[in-house]
Amino acid sequence: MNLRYLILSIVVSGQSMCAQAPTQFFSSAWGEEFKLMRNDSGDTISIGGLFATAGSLYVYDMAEGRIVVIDSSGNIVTRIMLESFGRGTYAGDDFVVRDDEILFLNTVDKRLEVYDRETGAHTQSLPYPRNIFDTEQRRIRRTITKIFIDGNRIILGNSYHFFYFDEALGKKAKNTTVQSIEPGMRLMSINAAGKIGVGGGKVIAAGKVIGPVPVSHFPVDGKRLVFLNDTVYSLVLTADSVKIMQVR
Amino acid sequence: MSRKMLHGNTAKFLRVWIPPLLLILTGSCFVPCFGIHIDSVLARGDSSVNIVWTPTSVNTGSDWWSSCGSGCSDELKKCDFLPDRTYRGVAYSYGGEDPFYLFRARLLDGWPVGSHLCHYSTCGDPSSSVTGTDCSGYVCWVWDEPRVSTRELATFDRYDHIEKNELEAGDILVKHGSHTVLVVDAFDNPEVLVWEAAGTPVNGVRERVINLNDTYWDDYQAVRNPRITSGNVSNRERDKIRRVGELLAEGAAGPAGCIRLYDVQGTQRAVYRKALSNRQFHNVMMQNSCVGVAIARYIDINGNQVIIRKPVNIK
Repeated sequence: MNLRYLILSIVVSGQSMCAQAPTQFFSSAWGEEFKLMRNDSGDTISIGGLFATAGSLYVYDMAEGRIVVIDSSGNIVTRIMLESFGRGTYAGDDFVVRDDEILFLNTVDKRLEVYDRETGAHTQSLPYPRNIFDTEQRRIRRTITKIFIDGNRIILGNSYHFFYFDEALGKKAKNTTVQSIEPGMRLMSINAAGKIGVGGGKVIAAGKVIGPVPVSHFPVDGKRLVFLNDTVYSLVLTADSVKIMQVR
Repeated sequence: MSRKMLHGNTAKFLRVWIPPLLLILTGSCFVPCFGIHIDSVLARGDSSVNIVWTPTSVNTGSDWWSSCGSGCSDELKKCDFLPDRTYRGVAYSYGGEDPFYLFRARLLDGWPVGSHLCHYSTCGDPSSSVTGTDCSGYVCWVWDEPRVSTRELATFDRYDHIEKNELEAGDILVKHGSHTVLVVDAFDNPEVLVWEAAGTPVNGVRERVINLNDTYWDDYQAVRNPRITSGNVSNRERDKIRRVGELLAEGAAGPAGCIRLYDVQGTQRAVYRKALSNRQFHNVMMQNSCVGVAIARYIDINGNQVIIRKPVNIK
C-alpha cells in the first residue's frame, strides 16, 4: 500500500514538474530571422521588446529597425520597416500598438514617436511630461521608461508608478491620479487582461503567481512579459537564440 | 563598502592623494590633483544627457562622412542625424570627448556632428573635426579625469573594483576594451539607472534603466573612483557646480536665460536668472521668476537641469 502511494506520488510529482516546464512559443537562432549587432561602443543591439494584441505578438527588432509580427501559432506574418528619425534603427525603448499606429517611447529624446502600422512611416513626434513623478525620492523611480495601452488610452510610467497620458495636451490626463505599484513589486505590463509584475523572483499576473522570472542574457529595454490571449509570454534572449515562451 | 568608509581608510587616502601631491611638488600633475564631489559628477553627467540641440544642414551636410567613410557601410557615409530635428543628449562620436558646452559651441560653429569607428579607422581621431563624445570620453568628462579608454578605466589601480551589489551613484560599469556606463541610482538594484554615451543606433548620451540580472552584464566590472567625495559641498565644488549651470544656461538661453537647480531628490534648490545687462547669473530663489514665454520656453523645451545632492545657497 505504501509502495503504491510512493509510486503514485512520484508519478504525480513528475507530471507536475513537466507541467512547470516553459512551453516554447517561438524560437529562432541568431542570424536566422534576427541578428545581433555589435556597435562601436561595444554594446550589443538585438531585440528591443514585445507587445501583444489579440492574436498577434509584435517584436521590435532594434538591430534592423523593424517590427516583426507573429501570429498566435508562432508564425511570422508581417515585417514592418520603421522610418528613421535620425537615430539609425532606434525608434524607442518600449512600444505599444493602437489601431493603425505603433507608438514608441523614445526615452533618449523624451518623446513619443508615432508610426503608421502598415507602412512604418514616422508620422508624428510628441513630447511627454517628465516631472510627473517628481515627488518620488529616487531618481530611478522618477524617470519614464514604459508605455502601456488601456483601450485607446496611453499609459506612461516605470516599474513603480504610472499615469494616463493625454496626448492632445501633452500632459497627464485630467481627473486622473498617479498610480503606484505595491511595495516589493515591479510593473512589467498592463493591458485589458490585467497587470503583469515581478516580485520575489516570481512573475505575478492578474494577481496570481505564474512562475519564476525567466533569465535573459541580452538586455531588453522594452516589455519582456506580455499577455497573449490571457496567457503570459516572456521574451528570452539567450547567447544563441531568440525565444518567446509561456511563463508557467 | 560605502564611500564614507573609504574616507576613513588611511591607506586608501595615502594611495590616492600622495602621488598627485608628489607630482605637484615635482612640478607636473598628470592625474587630477583634487577630488570631485558627487554633486559635481552628477551635474556634469546630467548636462550631457539633457542638452537639447537641433542640427542644421551645415552640421549634417558635410562630405566629411563620405571622405572618411571608405570602410563604412552606405548609411554611415552620411550624417546620422537629420537637419532641423531636435535631439537630446550630446551626439555619439567614436574617439570624441566633448562636454555639452563644447558640443553646443561647435555645433554653432558649423562642425559636423557624430562619427563611428569606421571613420576613425580611415581618418584617425576625429576630435578636432567632428563634435560628440564616446562612452569613455563621457565618463572621463563626468569624473573630471584625463581622457582614457575603457581598457584603462577597467584596469587602472587608482580605481577600486567593487561588487555590483555595492554600486552607488558616481560608480561605473565597464567592460575592458568595450563599453562603459555611469551609475546614477542603484537603489533598486538589480534595476539600475545609468547614463551612457551609446553608439549605434541611439548615437548619443542617454539615460537608461538596465537590469543586472541579465547575464550580459556579468562581463562588466563595477568600478569606483575614490576621488569622488560626498558630504558637505565645499566652496570650490559649489563654484564648479554653479559654473556648469551657467554654461548650460549660457549655451541656449540667448540674452536672457533662466536655469533651475534641483537636488537628487528632485527638489528645486535655486533658480538662476541671467541678467540682461551683463553675463552674470543671479540666484533669484523665486520659483515664479521664470514664468513668461521666453524664459519658460528655455526651461520647458530644453529641460536642462543641474543635479545637486545637498541644499546649496549660491549667492
